[in-house]
Amino acid sequence: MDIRFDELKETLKSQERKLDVISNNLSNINSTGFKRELVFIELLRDKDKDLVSMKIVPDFREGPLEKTDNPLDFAISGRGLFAVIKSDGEERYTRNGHFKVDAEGFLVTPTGEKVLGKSGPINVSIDGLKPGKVEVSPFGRIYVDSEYIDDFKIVDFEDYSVLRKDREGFYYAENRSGLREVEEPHIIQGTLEASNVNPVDEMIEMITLHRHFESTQKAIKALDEQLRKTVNDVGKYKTA
Amino acid sequence: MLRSLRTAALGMSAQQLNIDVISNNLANVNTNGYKKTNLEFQDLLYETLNVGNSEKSEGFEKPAEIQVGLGNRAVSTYRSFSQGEIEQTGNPLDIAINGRGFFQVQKPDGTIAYSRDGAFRVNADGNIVNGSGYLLYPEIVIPENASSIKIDKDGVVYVLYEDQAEPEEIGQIELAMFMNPAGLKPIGENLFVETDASGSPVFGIPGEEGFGELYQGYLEKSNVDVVQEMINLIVAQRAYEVNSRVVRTADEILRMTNALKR
Repeated sequence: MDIRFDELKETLKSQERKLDVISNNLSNINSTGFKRELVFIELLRDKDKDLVSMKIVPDFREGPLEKTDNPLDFAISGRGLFAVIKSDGEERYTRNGHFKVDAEGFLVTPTGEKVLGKSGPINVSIDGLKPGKVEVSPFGRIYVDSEYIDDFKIVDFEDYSVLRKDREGFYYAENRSGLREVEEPHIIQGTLEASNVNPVDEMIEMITLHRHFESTQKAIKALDEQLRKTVNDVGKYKTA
Repeated sequence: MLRSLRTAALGMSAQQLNIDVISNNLANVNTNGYKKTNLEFQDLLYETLNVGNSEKSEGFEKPAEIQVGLGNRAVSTYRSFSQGEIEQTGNPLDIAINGRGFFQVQKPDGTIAYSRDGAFRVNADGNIVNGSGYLLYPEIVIPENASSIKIDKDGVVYVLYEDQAEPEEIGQIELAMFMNPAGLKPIGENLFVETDASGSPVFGIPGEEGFGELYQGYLEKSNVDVVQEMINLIVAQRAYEVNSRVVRTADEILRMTNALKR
């Protein structure tokens, strides 16, 4: 008998995982620079078995830009990511341009990673003592008290699906595949890019998966019923 | 159990924290020199899962492992030191700073704290003190028989005597400035103390580059923007709501899973 519980089980599990991703998106509806993630589920055929395969890909549509008037908030309009360096020397990328100055005058992320310019970490202090007035041109040129110091290092990837996230939520690409520097980025000072999660999209996705789960569950029950009948009723005598 | 349940719960508690911060801002909408704080969210660590067909079989490429996020977290509260509105009060010992400097006050234990609140008084000994009675540092004593006090933009304090035509200089207000004011630690009573994150203070006199000038007879109000806070409150509430929907869906899914077996 060929009852395909396996495939149905995989379908249920994939819907569950889809809900994991949607809940993560909705949870980050307020996280600056967050990019929603999309789930792709596909059926693969392996010899005589169907397999469910899943892929999670970031959706890099631009989030709404919000004016904050904080001189250390930056948003990238169009493609590109800010490059930051972690304390272990690894380079990471982010769309979150909510920066601050640390005690030594370096521009850092809220979690303390130094923001990279074309010639290394960006220091916006005057002689390492006093905080300077930071101005950034739309092309990413950084001026401190009207003196040019560096350019933001903005990178981009051919294909965003190669991007992975590390534990702190920064992007990286294995083997830095497809990485290139953006020559003329468009940077807006005093503005932040809000999360691109749209509650409507996520709610619709959630309803769809909910119903999908329900119908799969019904299918399993139907199969179960069929199996019960086969086991209990087929071959049963009815004495008159 | 379902990962999504926990993720949604995290999302809800983060929004709750957000509302706490917003309500504190709104509560301080009339506090002199108060600086609003914002909560900064980031996505939480990612869990790497193996997909169903992780066994490698011929003719198939092993699909890339998938990463599922586990919700968000509040990474930091960010205090915005943008200039608050400057309001005229006419009180000669109300001083506003139009710049990035901080007043220094000496606490009873001798340590120095920093403040943007410029509502000063004179105590029984003639010392200039802040609203909590802490001495302005460096100390300035107003002579008993002085008839009026004048503070100029550069922080020089003069007094006038009734029987004298020329004002007499009695002291100089000094300001402190920090590399990263957002790293200062609030200790209540409108005061901040330095931390490793803020860096050491740089001292200077008002009117020097960056410190800002002083305005006598004016006070710096809170920099809380009520409309913005109300919008933040609405967003936080809706975000809370949408996360509670996820909880409900996850609950439904669990219910249906349980119903698989009669």
